[in-house]
Amino acid sequence: MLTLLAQVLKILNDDNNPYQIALAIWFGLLVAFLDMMNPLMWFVLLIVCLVRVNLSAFLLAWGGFELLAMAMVPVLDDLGYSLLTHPSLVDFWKSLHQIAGVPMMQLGYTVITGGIVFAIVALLPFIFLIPWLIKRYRTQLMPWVEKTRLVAVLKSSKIYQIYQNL
Amino acid sequence: MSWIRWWGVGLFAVLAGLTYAVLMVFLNPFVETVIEDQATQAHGAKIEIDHVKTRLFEGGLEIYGLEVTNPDSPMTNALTAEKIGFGVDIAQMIAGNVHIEQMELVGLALNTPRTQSGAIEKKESKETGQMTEESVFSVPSLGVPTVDDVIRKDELQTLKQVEVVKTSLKNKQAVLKGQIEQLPDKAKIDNYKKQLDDLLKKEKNPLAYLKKAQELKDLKKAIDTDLKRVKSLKTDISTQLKAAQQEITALKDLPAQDAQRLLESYQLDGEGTLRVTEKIFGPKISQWLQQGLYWYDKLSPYLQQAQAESQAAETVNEPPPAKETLTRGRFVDYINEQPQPVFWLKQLDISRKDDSDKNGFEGKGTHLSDSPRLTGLPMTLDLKAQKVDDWQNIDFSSVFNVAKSQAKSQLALSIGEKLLSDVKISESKSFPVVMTTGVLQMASQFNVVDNVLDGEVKLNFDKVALTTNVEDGSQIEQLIAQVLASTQAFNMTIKAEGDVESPKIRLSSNLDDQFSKVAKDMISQKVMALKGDVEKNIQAQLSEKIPNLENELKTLGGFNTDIGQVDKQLNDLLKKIKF
Repeated sequence: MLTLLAQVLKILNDDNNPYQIALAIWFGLLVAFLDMMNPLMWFVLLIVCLVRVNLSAFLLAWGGFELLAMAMVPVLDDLGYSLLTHPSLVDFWKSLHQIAGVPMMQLGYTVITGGIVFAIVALLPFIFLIPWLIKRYRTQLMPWVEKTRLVAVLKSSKIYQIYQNL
Repeated sequence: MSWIRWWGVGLFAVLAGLTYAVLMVFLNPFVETVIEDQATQAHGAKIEIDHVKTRLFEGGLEIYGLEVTNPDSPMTNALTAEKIGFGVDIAQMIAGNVHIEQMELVGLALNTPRTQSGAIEKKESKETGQMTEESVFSVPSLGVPTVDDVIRKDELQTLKQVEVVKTSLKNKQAVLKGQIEQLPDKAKIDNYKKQLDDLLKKEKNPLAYLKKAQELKDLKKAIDTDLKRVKSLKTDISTQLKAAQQEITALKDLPAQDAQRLLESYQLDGEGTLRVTEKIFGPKISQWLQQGLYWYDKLSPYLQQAQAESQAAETVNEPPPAKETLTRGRFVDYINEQPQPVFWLKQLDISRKDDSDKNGFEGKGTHLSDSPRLTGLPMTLDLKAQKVDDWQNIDFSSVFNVAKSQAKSQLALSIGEKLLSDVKISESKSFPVVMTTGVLQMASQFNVVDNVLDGEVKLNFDKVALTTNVEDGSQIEQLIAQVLASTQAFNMTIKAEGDVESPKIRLSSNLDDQFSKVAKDMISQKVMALKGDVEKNIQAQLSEKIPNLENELKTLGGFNTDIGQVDKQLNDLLKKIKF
């Protein structure tokens, strides 16, 4: 638990590009809504390996959003079902099916389609909101946090040693 | 700072390569083991595969060297195939369905020998329902009985008719007696006489004379009426007497008819046919039919399930429920407007391995599916082979239309020629029959509508040599053996009708006509010799009864004498009346 907390702090405090962190978190969200047999998941993993996004943030987000995905199954099921059965979208799904590789993405399943659509809709807020929050943290919150008595205590504690070793 | 992580590219390539290598090394043996184990358990006998090749990215699979053991004969493969190749529809596979656009089956052969037994440990053995050896053959007893046996066998119609005639005579006597009693008796005739005497006395008074004349006229009329009744009764008695005499005379012809009737029951069956073929060939034909029905038996549960599904769907008229998984949710088939079957092999091409594949089949199957209701199409399977072992020109075609609630299936199988050699036709110890050589041609047609079978198999045996060993057999067995020994060709028709699970099977053959003819000749000779004795015996019994009947006839004739006197008296009275 301490390691996990330290990892989060390191990601936030590092000079990593906030957009790389935001993108990693978004990829974590998308992968959490797919299952192991879905080729789309493996495609996202390939992207994560190839594109310089924060791997720690990706892994942490994946784990966290897996829990969220499980809790959201009924919502995603309803969302996916309404999208897949909506008369105005039937032609869209059929044309999508014609694209190579898409039939393997299991889009007929309500939770998967609901999850992918949810993740796509969440992309824009993630890209703008998370970097802004990270920047605000680094410029305004981090110097104040550094000076607090709590951090002074923490620096002498075990968690700081773990943080330093990361 | 570059957005590309080059070491990540390398890592991904290494991981992908390792995964691919592992799949290539372990996937094929894994698939082979899974297919062998699952199929063997489901089939009940070993199903073995030489090797498989998976085409992962195309969703394809090739199975080489398939051997399917016949569970009823573990040293025989019910089916072997050199190669089976197919590709599945990936989109349908994701939906949990196996849809195969085209399957290629090369080098299909049936009933090939195995080097090792393909039996597996079975939980319980299945009753085959075959007849036991000793129950298969019993020649009808055609021993000729004694006269007493024949006489005691049934009620004699002659004696029965004697009783009928006797009762008839008694009834006639009773009726006539009643009518005679109604004729004028002595008192009445005396009264007529007295009245007549009074009326014939001289009368001088004209008025009184006229009155007497009128009374005389009335008396004459009354006597005339009685006389007419007497004459009518006399005629009636004569007629009845004549009829009774004719009935008694007719009785004399009955012993001959009785003898004929009684001896007829010692002839052949009701149609005059000795159905020996069914008894001799029945078990072997039943065995062949069982072999022929092996694949139908395998298929039957699926067809019945498909039909039940169709019937249920037509009754309820609701689509099947959506498939659901915990993590992926419900499956919505947005491509197909109609629900799809779980298994659908759209086209099956069966071909021979090459020209040297003498036991190979060629053919085509279409729309083989676990749910024909959803495909809406009939399943067909056609197979042809020029030569399989000693079977030549095999032509099989089948259509299973269970897409609708009223299921219709048609099967046709014809065999141009099959060489038969040392086939044990009857394994009965008392009447063994072996076909040492023969050529069989067969044409069959089966229709199944709503589980009701209507089928016919026509077999034509040519160039046959049948041998039997019945040195200690009965006369009829010896006779049948002679017919079989002299038979060079014969035909047979098997009709199967009724419930498809337990149809009524009837076998007929022109051999039966030959058996019947020789048996009839033999029996006729013996029966004719017996007929005279039986007739004499019945005649003797009749002779004892005839005097009794003749006495009754005499009683009837006596009535004429009785009424003759009344007739005379009335006539005498009339003679006195002279106007």
